[in-house]
Amino acid sequence: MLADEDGPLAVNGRPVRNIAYIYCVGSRQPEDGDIDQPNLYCSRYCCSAAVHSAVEVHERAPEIHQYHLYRDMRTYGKYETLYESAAREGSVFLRFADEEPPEVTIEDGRPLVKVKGQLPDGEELEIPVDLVVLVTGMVPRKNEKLVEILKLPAGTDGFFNEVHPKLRPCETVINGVSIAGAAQGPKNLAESVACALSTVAKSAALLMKGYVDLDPFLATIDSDRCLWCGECQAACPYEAIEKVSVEGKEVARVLPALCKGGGVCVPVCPEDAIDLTGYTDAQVRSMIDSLAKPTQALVGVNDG
Amino acid sequence: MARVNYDFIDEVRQSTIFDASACMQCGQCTAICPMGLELLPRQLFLYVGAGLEDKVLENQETIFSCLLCRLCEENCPRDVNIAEDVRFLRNYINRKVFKLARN
Repeated sequence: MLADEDGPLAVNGRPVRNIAYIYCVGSRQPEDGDIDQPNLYCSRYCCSAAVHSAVEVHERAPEIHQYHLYRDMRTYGKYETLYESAAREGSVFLRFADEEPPEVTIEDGRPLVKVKGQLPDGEELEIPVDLVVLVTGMVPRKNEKLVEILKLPAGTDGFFNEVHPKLRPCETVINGVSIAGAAQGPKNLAESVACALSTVAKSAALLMKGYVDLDPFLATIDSDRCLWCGECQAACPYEAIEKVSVEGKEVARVLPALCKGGGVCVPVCPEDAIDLTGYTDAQVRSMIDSLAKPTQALVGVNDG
Repeated sequence: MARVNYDFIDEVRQSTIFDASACMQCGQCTAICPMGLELLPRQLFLYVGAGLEDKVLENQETIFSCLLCRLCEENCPRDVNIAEDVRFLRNYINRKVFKLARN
């Protein structure tokens, strides 16, 4: 609406004189509430975005009255200045309690917002408005197919997960696949750009090296023992096992570029033909043996 | 049930005297008020900001019992001109309720 060329702000041809913003709509909801698929998380960007549009509305039409009904105001960082100017320009900020969200009804064909704005005597406030702005959170796009093809790790909220939020903030556990911006979680433009730049730097480092270091921990298959039953191929989540023919015999082979050394294939092999470099059966067995070895009891120091 | 009165907001905005927009409801004024007013400055400003004229008129007693000592103003972290704002509200009530002419 603001993007429209000049002229007074209008909704369906009706001029807007009063606006109410309701924050956290569908966000930060309890899992067992009465909303279908609620967002459990805070989207971070919406408070700043709504307050920013309030500032723009004020620039366009200073006579418009604006009410902000919020649960918690998070205009973090430098966006605090937006909140500051919105308040200075006459936006009214009223906090409501989690369990008492505002109610919107229609009165004489116009929305009427009722809210317990935490007034001194706990009274309910009635705000007749022309426009109710529901400030909703950011949700991940439906990406099942991409997730399936690239084997990307997605969190319970549906956004893709990085390896470590601080140490490797833009890489995924899949080598060579990086994530940036809002794929990772709700982000505003500046944050998305910063994230994208970091991803680009990481990718460039990978490419300019000219070659890829493989993980040393790979599965190895003993072709003499392997009878190709296909169990290991079915178990591998990275599709790193293929069927090859060695001297006329069908056996499994590990693709070193795809193998992540997960070790899922090792226990499923009925012939015990697979070992994991660095964690071979012999190594693990000898570790167990040395752990289980009875040690000579120490002669008590306090015995004397 | 308190209904927003937009005319009241516009009148307050036009005055250029009343300005409590910086108030962040911290309650410093409340803590320091020697009168222990029934309705404290910050709550009063919340009513005015939200456009609840009825609530303001209901609390005339409080508005007129302020000493204008400016202790609150001295300690306000946001530099709100509290005493000046209270005087504006007295002026407003004088005109609206007691029908006194301006000045």
